Amino acid sequence: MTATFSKPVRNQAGIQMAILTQRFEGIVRGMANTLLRASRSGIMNTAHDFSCCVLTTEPALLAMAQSLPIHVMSGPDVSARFMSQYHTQMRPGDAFLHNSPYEGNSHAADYAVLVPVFDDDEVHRYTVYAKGHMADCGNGLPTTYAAAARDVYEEGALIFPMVQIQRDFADCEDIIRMCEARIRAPEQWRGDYDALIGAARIGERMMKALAGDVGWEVLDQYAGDWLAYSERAMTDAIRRLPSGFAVTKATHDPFPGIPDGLEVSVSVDVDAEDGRITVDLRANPDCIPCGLNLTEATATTAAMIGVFNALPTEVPHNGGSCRRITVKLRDGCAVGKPRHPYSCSVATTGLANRLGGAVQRALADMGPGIGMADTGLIMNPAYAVISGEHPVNHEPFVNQLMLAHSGGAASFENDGWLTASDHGAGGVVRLDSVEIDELQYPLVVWRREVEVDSEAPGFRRGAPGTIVEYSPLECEINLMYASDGSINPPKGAAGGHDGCLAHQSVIRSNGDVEDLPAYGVVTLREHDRIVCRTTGGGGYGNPYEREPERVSADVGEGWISRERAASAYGVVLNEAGDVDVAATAAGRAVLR
Amino acid sequence: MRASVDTGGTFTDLVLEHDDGRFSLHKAPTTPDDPPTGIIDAIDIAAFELGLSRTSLLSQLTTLSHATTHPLNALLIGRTSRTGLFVTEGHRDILLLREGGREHFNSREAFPRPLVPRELTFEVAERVVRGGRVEMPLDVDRARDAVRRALELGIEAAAVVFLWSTVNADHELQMSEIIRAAAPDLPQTLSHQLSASLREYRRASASCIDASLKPMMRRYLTRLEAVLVENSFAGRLLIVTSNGGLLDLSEVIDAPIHTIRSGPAMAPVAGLKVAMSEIGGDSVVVTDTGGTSYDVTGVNSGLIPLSRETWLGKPFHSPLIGFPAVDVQSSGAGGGSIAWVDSGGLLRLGPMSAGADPGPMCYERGGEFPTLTDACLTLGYLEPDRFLGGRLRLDVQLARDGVNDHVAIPLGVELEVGAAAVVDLATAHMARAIEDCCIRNGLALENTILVAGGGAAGLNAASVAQRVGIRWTVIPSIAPVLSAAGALISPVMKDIATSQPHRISTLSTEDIATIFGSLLDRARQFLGEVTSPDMLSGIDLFAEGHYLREVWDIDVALGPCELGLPTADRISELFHARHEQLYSTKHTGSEIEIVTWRARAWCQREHIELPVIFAKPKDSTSRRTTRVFFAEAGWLDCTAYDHDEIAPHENIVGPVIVSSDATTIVVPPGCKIQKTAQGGVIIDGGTGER
Repeated sequence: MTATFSKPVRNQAGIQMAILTQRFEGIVRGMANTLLRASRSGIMNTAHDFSCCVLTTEPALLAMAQSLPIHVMSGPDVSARFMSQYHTQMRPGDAFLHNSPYEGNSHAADYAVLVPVFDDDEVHRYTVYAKGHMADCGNGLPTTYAAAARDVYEEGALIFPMVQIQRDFADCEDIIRMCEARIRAPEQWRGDYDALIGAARIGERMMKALAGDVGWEVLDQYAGDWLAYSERAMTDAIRRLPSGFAVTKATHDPFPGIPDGLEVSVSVDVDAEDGRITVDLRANPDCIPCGLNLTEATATTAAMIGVFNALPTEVPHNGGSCRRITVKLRDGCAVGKPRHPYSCSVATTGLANRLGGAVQRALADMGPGIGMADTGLIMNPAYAVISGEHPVNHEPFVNQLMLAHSGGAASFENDGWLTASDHGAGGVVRLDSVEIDELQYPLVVWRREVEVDSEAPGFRRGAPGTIVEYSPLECEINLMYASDGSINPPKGAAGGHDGCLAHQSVIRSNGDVEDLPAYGVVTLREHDRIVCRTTGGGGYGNPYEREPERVSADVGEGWISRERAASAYGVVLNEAGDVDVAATAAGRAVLR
Repeated sequence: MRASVDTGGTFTDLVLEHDDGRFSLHKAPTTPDDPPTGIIDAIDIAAFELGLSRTSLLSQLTTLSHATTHPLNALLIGRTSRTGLFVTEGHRDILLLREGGREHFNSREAFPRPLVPRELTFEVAERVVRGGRVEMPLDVDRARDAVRRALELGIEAAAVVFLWSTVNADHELQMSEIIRAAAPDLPQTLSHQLSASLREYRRASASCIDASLKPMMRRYLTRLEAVLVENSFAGRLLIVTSNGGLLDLSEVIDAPIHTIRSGPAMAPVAGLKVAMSEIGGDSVVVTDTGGTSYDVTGVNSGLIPLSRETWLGKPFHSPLIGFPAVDVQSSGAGGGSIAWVDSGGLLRLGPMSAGADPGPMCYERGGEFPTLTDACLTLGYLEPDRFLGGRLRLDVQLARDGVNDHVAIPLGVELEVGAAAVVDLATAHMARAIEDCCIRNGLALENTILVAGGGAAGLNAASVAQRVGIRWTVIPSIAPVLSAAGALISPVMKDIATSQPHRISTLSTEDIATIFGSLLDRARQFLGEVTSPDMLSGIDLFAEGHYLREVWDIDVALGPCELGLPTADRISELFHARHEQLYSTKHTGSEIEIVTWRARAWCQREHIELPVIFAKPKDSTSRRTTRVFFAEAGWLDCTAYDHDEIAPHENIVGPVIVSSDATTIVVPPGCKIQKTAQGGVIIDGGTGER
């Protein structure tokens, strides 16, 4: 047939934008589906610790699939800049492997594959980007979170600063062999790598098909319109906030390299009139001799997530809306642009979670109903990287567990989302199935449940903590973890209480109980049992203002006890569990 | 005579297969408070139209196949039985924690409530570990105590979900006895009997759904049967199940979860049959356009895919059903989806929907916002006097005003351009859903056939196909009742499965014989009970597994058991091929782990014809000219045909409109159509530029 339909003429951006946004979403979803189904390690295919997006050549983030937020808000754009800078002669068939924390990536365990998409004249038009957290990245110790590493050398990760991994659509086998020689469970790594390449190539193919349909000029027009639309939506949303300025602080627990912990300070300036929010992170310590340093990508993104959490869901998350957020960073700062060879092995969680929470609390200081409390903190033994030799098949294994997380921060509108995980994951990551974990690894998970009375009271309450207990089955296993939140809790906002603390201990087979430090490498023998509690999220607002019916519902559902209802919320329940209105009013009058 | 009846949200569809091989369609409004009444109403309407009495029609039926949304609705509005859940100690929050995840990090919605509240979840001290070994025996005293507390709290049904019960069921069986001793008549669901799947959350969810439906579905199905029998029905009552088959009443009463996706499961069955009969292809995308949603299923090489990842309601804000159901993905773009322009000037379609009530503005039932249907009417796709055979007159002016006020003016475009944009956006939504589905199922679009069902299917099916690069689209005569038609041709069928994780490399011929031996015994017993002498029957074998360390299982067809049990090498070969088909890669050097083994027993009549519904002949020819707007060409004079006046195999070139009592097909310029002997319309979108 003839090409009657290929180039509809439309003058109005609102129509073209609507239709092309569908098509771009189709592309990033196609990439994500490929990655999800073809990847090998649980951290990708079960926990969804990956992201897919399309970038303009500016470079600006144009479209992303349901991705881990800490991966994508900022980072892909910075990385893409380095791609153009390092590779001035790119051509079709090229693909680049990137994990360098010094050049725009999140942390060394996140492997990104970037594929430049060309038109028929070999002009670079867009970049597709697929990133996933590898189960191993060649660190000295079997963990992808080398919290104690003094520098990148001790960390041991192979660093790929935008290294060409495919030429003419074929792998550069030299690089693949290097990886296979230095990365644990190489077959699993290879499967994950293939999935990343597959996702990027699917994205490339779909981009070219789309351009074939509508033409590159129309796509460029769209990109400009869509980013401008998103920026407008963001500006409008910020204009509905009150202007203000606040400085908040947050403290990371003591860790190797920071024996007294680390306090970070965040200043947030909302300029409602201009529709801009500025987050200044420069007044913070220099890089520290451990793996906690943030990268440019994660420092910027953590702040941005905190801002987006204060805004309506409808604002698209892309390079356009992000133009209205300025994040000021300093070179050589622990929460800024890291300096080689400081290690950034834990850059997606530890300090990122702390500073993101501080941004949310700063916004809460601007006026009633705004901002959020701190989201919970992770990386305790429920998230341990476990390794060992399987007793049945005698094969080595290494992978990260995701057995439990909670951590949802309260906002004016909502109680904390129970399975929020942490600030950077925002609840997008999944939880492992106990049976599947036990099928794949020699484990018994004895307990996984919400802890009663561990929620953070507030007008809206933070998520409670969860308790996890597990043992090795018929063997020894090594576990590594780097848990924040055992000393400094996730903080509440606007009068809400702090979230519960993390805690970790081991019950040895002889009954001895050993408390475990925040950062640990532990060998579990058979019949030893790890017991850990994850942090909750902070509460928001005065708990004595919480609607009594919500408190009685929490009691009914077994989240809190009757005693807690009375002591923390001033709500008195009668025998039947209903609110005693008079006693509650009288008690609250005194407590308030 | 045979019948199928599909109780949908709005209408109850009845399809009759007459003894002369003809089919007829009859519709009545659904009566949600008492669904059997709606079924009898539909039967009365059919009887009237055929000049029969209710009892004489019913007495002529040899089978009646029934699909219903009744249990799904009961779950969605919380009208199911108070259910107690008994779980392994330490795991009381299986239903609360689920598998984590949510769609957006900054969504504002409250955390969803669990299917069974924590108050009614009871821990039992017991533990089985990998391999089925008992690590901690069941504590009988504490189990009895849990049952006593549950009964005190007034539970009306019980679900038992212990870890690893699919590999060692002893503790669940023991618990069942303990419950029965205390409450002999309390309905129970044991997770290992319901679902052979690892992943405790999904099994728990399925078990609780099943248990909570038992009292209600027993009442409903026995009442339906009684009403039918009272009215002289003496045939076989079969219930449509979520896996695309039929089961006898007693089986469904024992495990009502089978019915939870019975409506959507049948469209792919019918769609596959359509593709095979009309074009001779078995790789097909089947779509069903409804008032509020667009359902899509991808069938790769004739295998209708099953999924355990179907949500009861909104993804991440409702439970996963956790029970295998035909993989039907719904997206929110239907005829009733509302078109609007947001404050940033972006055209949007949905997620709000006018549904069937008040419906589109042009229905004149008080709809205040323009819908996809209104846009189609504005463009001349629908003829106002001929909608649903003239039974519902559409108000063009209301539609035009609505599209103008809410779409065209805010966008600053001409009315027609605005309306065309709405249809185009719907097409983009649908195309995305199809692309998603093809990637998930490894379908290559250029070799795939689109079968479009639903009353509104024809309005933009040709455009959707062109957008995604599918050449052949079939709009069968049964398009408006794809589900009900599917129920007439699907087999009586049961999946019998066991969860026994094995690595292929360690699997001996004896192991395979042992695993399948017990499944085949059960399958043959089932067939013995359900097969009549005039039926064909068979048992097909399947394995679900993954490459070592992959965690998502793929479903591999191992062929009919008559060909003998497959060897380990044969299973590997089939697994690699299927993996390549789905994901475009295979790893022949990798170890394969099979987790679930399945035997599918089926039986059906010897000759299954594609149902064909011919329109009633008109008194006179009514070929006419009508004005239709196409975005690329503007207003064109189009010939409008009545479906029944087109001769089979006559070639017609677009732009044309083809309408019948139940559906309208818009054929854009450049597309060609042909009507087949079976009454379907095949659209050839060409193979040129997409």
